[in-house]
Amino acid sequence: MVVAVLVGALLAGCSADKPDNGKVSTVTIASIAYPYQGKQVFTGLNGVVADQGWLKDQLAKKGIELVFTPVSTAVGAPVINEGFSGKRIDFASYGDFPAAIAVAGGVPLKIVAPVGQGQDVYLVVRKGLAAKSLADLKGKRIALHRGRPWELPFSKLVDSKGLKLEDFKIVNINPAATPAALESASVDAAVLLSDGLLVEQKGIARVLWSTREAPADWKMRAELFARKDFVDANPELTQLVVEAYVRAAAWSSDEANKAAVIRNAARGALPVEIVERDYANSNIPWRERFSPLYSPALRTHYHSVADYAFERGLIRSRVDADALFDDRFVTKALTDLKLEDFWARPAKDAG
Amino acid sequence: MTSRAADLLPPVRPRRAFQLSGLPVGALLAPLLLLGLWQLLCLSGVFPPQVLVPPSGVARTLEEMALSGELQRHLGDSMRRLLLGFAIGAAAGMAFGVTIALSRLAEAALSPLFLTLWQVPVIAFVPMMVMFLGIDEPFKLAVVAIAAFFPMALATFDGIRGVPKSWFEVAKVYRLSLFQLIRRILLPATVPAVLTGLRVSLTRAWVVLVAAELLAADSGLGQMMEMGRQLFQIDVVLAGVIVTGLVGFLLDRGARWVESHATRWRAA
Repeated sequence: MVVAVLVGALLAGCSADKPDNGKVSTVTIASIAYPYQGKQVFTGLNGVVADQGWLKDQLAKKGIELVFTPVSTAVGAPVINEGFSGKRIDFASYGDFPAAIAVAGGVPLKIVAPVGQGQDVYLVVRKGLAAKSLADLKGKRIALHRGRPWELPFSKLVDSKGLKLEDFKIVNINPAATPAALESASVDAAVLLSDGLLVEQKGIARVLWSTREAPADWKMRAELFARKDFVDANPELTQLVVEAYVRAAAWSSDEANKAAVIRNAARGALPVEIVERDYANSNIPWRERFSPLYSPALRTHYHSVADYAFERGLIRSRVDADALFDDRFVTKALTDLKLEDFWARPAKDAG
Repeated sequence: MTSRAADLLPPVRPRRAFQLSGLPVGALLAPLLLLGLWQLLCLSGVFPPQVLVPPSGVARTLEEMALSGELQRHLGDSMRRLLLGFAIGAAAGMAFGVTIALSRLAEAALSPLFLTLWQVPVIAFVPMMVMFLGIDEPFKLAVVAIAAFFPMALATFDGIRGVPKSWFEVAKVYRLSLFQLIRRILLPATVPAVLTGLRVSLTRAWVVLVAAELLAADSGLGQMMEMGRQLFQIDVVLAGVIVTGLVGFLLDRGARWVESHATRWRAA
């Protein structure tokens, strides 16, 4: 029986293994999606790329199918990493820390397009708890979904206060389960993305700290990551995918589409006013919010992520941050689309 | 009635079959074959090594985790939850089983609900239990207790109902009190069924506990595996799989040993 299972696994493995050199029949992009009106909808640039349909048409002309793989926020990055390592997905728009985990685990990835300027991370405490600072939370239960991008800013905060993760009782539950845990006082605090503002609005908790109070590079970032061997084997297909994201970024950066972008970002996930507030909090000009340019800040950020995760023992091998960046595709897309001067060139001296 | 437990619960195998001490080579053959195939599959390179970690890598991880004390901490937390939760669940299950077996009224009133709830996987109750009990120890103990309760109640019920009617009649003739009935007749007659129930409850409770720890916990073998998955350390996940399997195997073996010895004592 066991032998049969193993042989089955071997066969399944062979068939699931996409030939990187042979003909590609599908291009798979994974991203966090939310259920909305009975369907899975993608937020951010993924949603725009899916709605625009340009990439789908371009790939169809080559006889290639475009597949968007929805990943629920409850499971998130681990599923994407497993997909990357099993070669079941080619691209994923997801967070900095999980990507570093994948690379450290031996799955080489490339940042083929930045998709934003970072998101704020919030530390919220449950209603009725009189904590005024992180130190007041010592010995308390904090909900933190491990291995997700918001772990790093929180870990940095803990460090900066001279504390250790072990000073708290870290409860590893996903963000979807967190509001109920806060409400029932099963946890005293939680680390969240903009859903932190939502629990505050609902009166379940209040924001104690956010990355707005921290240096700019503490924010979590997400980019469009690609499997290195896919990029190496299929540069033209990668170019098409990146161009689609640059087109989506240009559309989203247009002030005229601001309302639609916010509406889409809220679909199934958060109320519109929460997204608006989160965006407004960050003080990033609308035009630059989705800039696909490789800024010095981006590079510093990934160096910091790689070093920090390694020094804290969160990943077991050092990630070469420089090897992550591959800006060829964005550069070409900007030239092809005549968008070289659309976004402000970031200062070169920083970092 | 009597056949119900026999259908649902795996029978105790005869002692001579599948015995570790009797046939060490035979018993070790399958695991060794599995290890060999596993290693072979790793060498074939079909799966990336970070997904299918070779057995040697998992062994190293186990050793490191044992040396750092991390493994013992998780295992200890899981075992404490298992034993405490199991004691509560098995005792409650036994009491419930005796009640519905001895009282037709209780059976009529409670057994439909019991049989319905029994069909629901314990894990489905997790959200409600988290709301009522939080995510700390009471929640995990409750999960284990519920998992142990149902097979225990059913085995006790069937054990008692399996006692021939004539024995009760004899008890009536001798005007035995309820206490005497339980001690002199029911207890000896139902020992095998109850022990089987205990064994099934124990191994079931173990499986469910590990699953619950995967969902919400700050320690324990299940949580160790979940963390390994989140941090893409599949060797840690596989180490957890092996330890979980071994613990389950040993629990089952231990319970079988008690079972066969107790049965022999009864036969003697």
